[in-house]
Amino acid sequence: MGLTDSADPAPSASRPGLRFLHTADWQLGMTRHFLDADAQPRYSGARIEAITAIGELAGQQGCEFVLVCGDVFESNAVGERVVQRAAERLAAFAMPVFLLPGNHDPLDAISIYRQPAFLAAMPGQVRVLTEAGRHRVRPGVEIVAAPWFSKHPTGDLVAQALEGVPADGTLRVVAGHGRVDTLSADPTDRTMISTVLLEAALGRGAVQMVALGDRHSATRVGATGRIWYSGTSVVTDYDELDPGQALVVDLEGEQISVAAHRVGSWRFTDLVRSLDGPAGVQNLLAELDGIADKDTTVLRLSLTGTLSLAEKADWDDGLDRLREVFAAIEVWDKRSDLAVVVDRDELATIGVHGYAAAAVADLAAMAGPAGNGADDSAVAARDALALLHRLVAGRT
Amino acid sequence: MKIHRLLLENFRGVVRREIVFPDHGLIVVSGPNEVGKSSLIEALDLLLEEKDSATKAAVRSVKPVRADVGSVIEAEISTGAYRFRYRKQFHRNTATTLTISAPSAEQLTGTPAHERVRQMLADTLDEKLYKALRLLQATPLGQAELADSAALATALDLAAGAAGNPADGESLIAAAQRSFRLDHTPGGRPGGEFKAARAELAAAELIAQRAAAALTEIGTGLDRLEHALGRRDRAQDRLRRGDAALAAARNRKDQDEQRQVAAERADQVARIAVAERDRLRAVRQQRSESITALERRQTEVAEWVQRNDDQHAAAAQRQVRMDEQTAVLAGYAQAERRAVTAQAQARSGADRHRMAVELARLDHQLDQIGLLTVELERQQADVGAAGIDAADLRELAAAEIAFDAACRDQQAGAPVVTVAAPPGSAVWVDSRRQQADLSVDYPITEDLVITTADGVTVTIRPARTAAALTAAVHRADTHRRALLAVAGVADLVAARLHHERRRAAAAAAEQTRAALAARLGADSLESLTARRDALRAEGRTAVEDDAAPGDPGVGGSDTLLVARAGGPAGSARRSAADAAAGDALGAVDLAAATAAAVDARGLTGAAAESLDQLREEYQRVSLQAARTASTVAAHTLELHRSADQLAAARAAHADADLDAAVAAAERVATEALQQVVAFATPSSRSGGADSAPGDPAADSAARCSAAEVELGVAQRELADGATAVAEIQGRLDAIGGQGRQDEHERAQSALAAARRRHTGISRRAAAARLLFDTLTSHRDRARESYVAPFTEQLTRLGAAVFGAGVTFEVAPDLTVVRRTLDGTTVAFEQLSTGAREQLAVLIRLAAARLVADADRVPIFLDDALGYADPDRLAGLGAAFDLAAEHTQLVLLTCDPQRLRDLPNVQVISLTRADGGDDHEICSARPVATPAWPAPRPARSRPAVSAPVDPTELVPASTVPALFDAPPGHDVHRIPRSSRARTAHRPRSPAGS
Repeated sequence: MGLTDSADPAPSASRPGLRFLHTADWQLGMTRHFLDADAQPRYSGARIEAITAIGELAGQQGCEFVLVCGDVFESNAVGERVVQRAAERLAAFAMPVFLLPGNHDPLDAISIYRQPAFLAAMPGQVRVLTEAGRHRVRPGVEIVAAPWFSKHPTGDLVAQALEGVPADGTLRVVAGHGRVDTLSADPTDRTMISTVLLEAALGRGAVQMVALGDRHSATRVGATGRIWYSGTSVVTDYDELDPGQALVVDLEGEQISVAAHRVGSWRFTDLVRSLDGPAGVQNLLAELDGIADKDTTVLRLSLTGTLSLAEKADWDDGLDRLREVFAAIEVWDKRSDLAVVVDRDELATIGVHGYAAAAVADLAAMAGPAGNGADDSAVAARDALALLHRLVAGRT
Repeated sequence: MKIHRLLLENFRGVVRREIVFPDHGLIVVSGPNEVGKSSLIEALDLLLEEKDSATKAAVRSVKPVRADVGSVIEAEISTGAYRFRYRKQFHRNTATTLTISAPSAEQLTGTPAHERVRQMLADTLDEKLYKALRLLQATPLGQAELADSAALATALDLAAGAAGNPADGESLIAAAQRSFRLDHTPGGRPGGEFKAARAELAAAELIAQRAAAALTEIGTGLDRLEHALGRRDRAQDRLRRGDAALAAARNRKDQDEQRQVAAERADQVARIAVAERDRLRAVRQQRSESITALERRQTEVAEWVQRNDDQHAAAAQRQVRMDEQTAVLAGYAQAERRAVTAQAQARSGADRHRMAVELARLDHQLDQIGLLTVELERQQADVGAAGIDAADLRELAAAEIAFDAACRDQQAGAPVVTVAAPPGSAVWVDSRRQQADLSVDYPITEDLVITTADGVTVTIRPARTAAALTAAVHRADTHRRALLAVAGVADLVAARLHHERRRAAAAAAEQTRAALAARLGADSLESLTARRDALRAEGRTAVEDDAAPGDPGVGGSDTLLVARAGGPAGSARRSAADAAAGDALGAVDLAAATAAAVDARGLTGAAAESLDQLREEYQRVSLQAARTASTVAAHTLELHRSADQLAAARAAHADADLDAAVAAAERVATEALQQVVAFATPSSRSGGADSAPGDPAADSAARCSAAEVELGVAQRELADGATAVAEIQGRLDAIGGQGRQDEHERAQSALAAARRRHTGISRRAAAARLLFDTLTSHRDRARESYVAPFTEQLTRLGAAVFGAGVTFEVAPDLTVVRRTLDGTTVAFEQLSTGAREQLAVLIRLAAARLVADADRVPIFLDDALGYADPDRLAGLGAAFDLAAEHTQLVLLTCDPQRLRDLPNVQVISLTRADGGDDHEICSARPVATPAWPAPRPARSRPAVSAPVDPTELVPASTVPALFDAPPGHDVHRIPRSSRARTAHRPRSPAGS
């Protein structure tokens, strides 16, 4: 499943094969504040569940080891519970797990990796890449690690780690973390990882694959097919592409193949819709109803359009109902403009006369039409009309 | 709602009382105080509001005191479409019975019956209006709270014809208010969930801030740690540099010190070498000098020996010569002795002769001297006689000159009187007759008396100043005279003569004296005399002697001598001749003898002298030789000592060795000095190019201490840095493992949730507020239109009470703000108690008149009109009549007589219930009433803008409700009012 990729043969002699699992950005301990009290623990739990999924995937695929390229933890200051739960899951792994400190969990003075709770909890197969440079995995296989030692490194850590690594026939996988310069152009950022240098190291046969973390979208970097971001194990934001996956990397002779496998169940989805008339309301509600796995789906709606009082009430009722089943539905106020139009006939239908009708007319004028954007008073007027509708309708 | 019948049993003091109310009209319930009028209203409220099981104070308070029985309240009530009989027994055997007769028969008991009644009342009765239209003794005299009455509002809406909510039950605005009140306090501030959400949000923000701060502390700590590590590393670098600098400085210092030591040592060596060299030089010099001295001494000794030898030779020679001379001398001495003998014989004759000559010469000389002396004495006497010598003469001349000068002065300063005597005249001047024909000048130096022949006496006295001059003349004259007197001459001329004489005498004396002196020569008179005497004496002796020896030559002289001695004066010339003869004779012998003697003596003397000389020489030479010998001995001793010393020195150090040693010392000293010079030259020092001039030791020490200071600073910095690192690290260790991220995440989640909730509720609250505010503002605007019909009603009723032309200002909430009567406007609160009471009644009547038929409620006025005067009472009666047209208007009073005159009044009299089974059934009785009093003419009818149906304001006749008397009760029917009713507009209640 997922995307699969093969690269050209590396220009070096044939060597024994290696299969390992590349993942990153577990961000354990992360919370999403827009999730409510019900969804929040489930989301946090899903990040833990993903560890098990990764372990099982690695076992099924016969991976020699699992390489987590940074940001294993959301912060060095996460609580002991997070560490204990992660350790509990990692204990089930049948292969070594290498953890690379990233920018969220650097090896600084309060590094989680040096805290007694972590050291006591972590099972034996877990190894933290605390030194920059080469780490022997087994004879003929090494990891070239570029751990972060603080949140503010002064240069390209990966390039530093690669210095003086010989092309001596050893299979080497680079474990790095951070932005690469070909994807994020920021000349002021000296910590940016140089793609050219990575490709040079690959080209001279010093390393055979570069496994990166930090970018939450699974991404192939450059044309070699040997530089990859695995993406985060569980989605963390709406704008991530192909999150929730882990990469199984095969180095066989001079070939490389990278296969993405889904490990995270949650989805964050942005929906932009226009909402007009009773049909619009019904269609959107039907569309939302049709989404699968609602309890692990987070929606962000950007809605524009004009509704009558009754339609607005229908939409509000429908949305309230859907909120109960989705993990979360956010209405992106900044990008939404849902106007309410007041129709005299509609008022008469629901039996609003006299000064009440005059009041409704005032409110409708305040609410304004769609398209102009809605300031606070317009929003309040729309809400007031909806309330009036409920009061009247609730009584009739 | 209408109350048709009310039954009380065992209610306070009432055993049983049943009252039947007419369906409408003014119903006066009268009775004495404490008969239980107010209890009727109380009982009605208890029946409708309290369950039979209620035990609250309001219920307990109605229990009769004396009997332990249940209190029964029963009422026959119609409301809306319903008509029912409702009975409750409290306290004992509690029970509730409800019998609904319309619209459909229904019977309920217990709580369902109570609930049913509550429900029926809620549906059909505006309880607020019902309560508002009462005017009770217990409550303060206020205006009815009409604004909240839904029924009134509805009625007003209808009356205003503006707007309304057709739905029954709660109005839209009430619902909106309920929504509003969900999230707001009555005052409009956030309340309920809204308030809670705000508090929750604030709390969540606080917690989130704390959590964020706690997390930030970690970040800050890391930054500080990084900083501190940098500081520590820099301090370490500095320390390293300081160490190196100190080592270098110390090395340099050591070198300098070694060099210093070496220099000092070289100095010392040089000093020693130079001293040794100098010492050796001195030794060698001394050796040379010793040698030289020895050689010189040898030479000297040799010389001295030679000289000594010479001296010895000379002494020996002298010895020989001395011996020869001694022999010569002896010969001479013998010759001399012979010559002397000869000489002595010759000498005795010569001497006698020479003495006689001498004696003669002396005699002569003495004679001459005697003559001269006499002459001199005579001349000296001459001189003494002429007593004026040169000095005297000079003195005299001077006195004369002085006198002349004084006279001249006197005459020069004195006036002159010229006395001219004519011929033939006789004039006496100072007693002297002046010769006639003469003119004589007289200087006036003293009184001048001129006397004429006539006896005229003219005395001319000199001027007083002339006296001094005259005195001077006198003095000079006196002096001159005195001198002349002393000199014994008359005048100066005589004096000069005397003087000349004296000088000539003196010159003669002088010549004599000179002659005398020449005679004397060098001798004095006495010595000459003595010598002559001596010669005479000697001459005599010599004669005697000569006579003795008998020498022929000599004998002659002796005679002469004796002759001269015998006659000195006379024989002078003779002696001289004798002497001359004698001399010539004796002198030849003597001279020869003497010459021989002299010669002999001369030879002897010379020989002796020569011998002495020789002897002296010999002695001198011998002495010299002796001295020389001793010198030679001394020198020789010295020489030997020097030689010994030299030999000893040479034995110690041979001359050659000494020279070699000196040369070596010279070399050593030279080298040592060069060494010193080398150390003293700065450019020769190592690294001299960059070293500043000065004391190298001090420089290096200063560098050393500077490096030490720098090192100390670096050490302190390092310690500080390390301490800071340790502190921060310790703090980070402590807070790093606290799971602050989790806390932060939790807090942020809670904050987000609180914010969501708050936002939702805020929006809800804002919507509700907006809706309610909008509705309220529109309703208030609508209500302002209600005010008109209400004011209309109030004005209409008020005209009857206060007189036509009264107007009222009514607020939108239907409270009366001010009353204006006869141009005087008074605020409600400022009105008199009576007026306020009357107005309170009127407000209720007006409101009652405005509500729709279905909403009408009984109006209870409890003892309300105590303050009304008869006029007002009559006016009120008209108002009552208007209001009671469709409404039960119940007045409770203890003074029915005041009300008897009211129109269409129906009276129910209550009597005090005493005794056990007192049973009273009360019903209204009509009273004879006067005709309907005409309303007072309106002075100014207020403009009515609201569309009011005029027919509503017309008193309408009541319709007697169907009254089904319960069985077993004697019920008084209320007789029909005698007053004819017009404009009867039957109402048609729904469902009946």
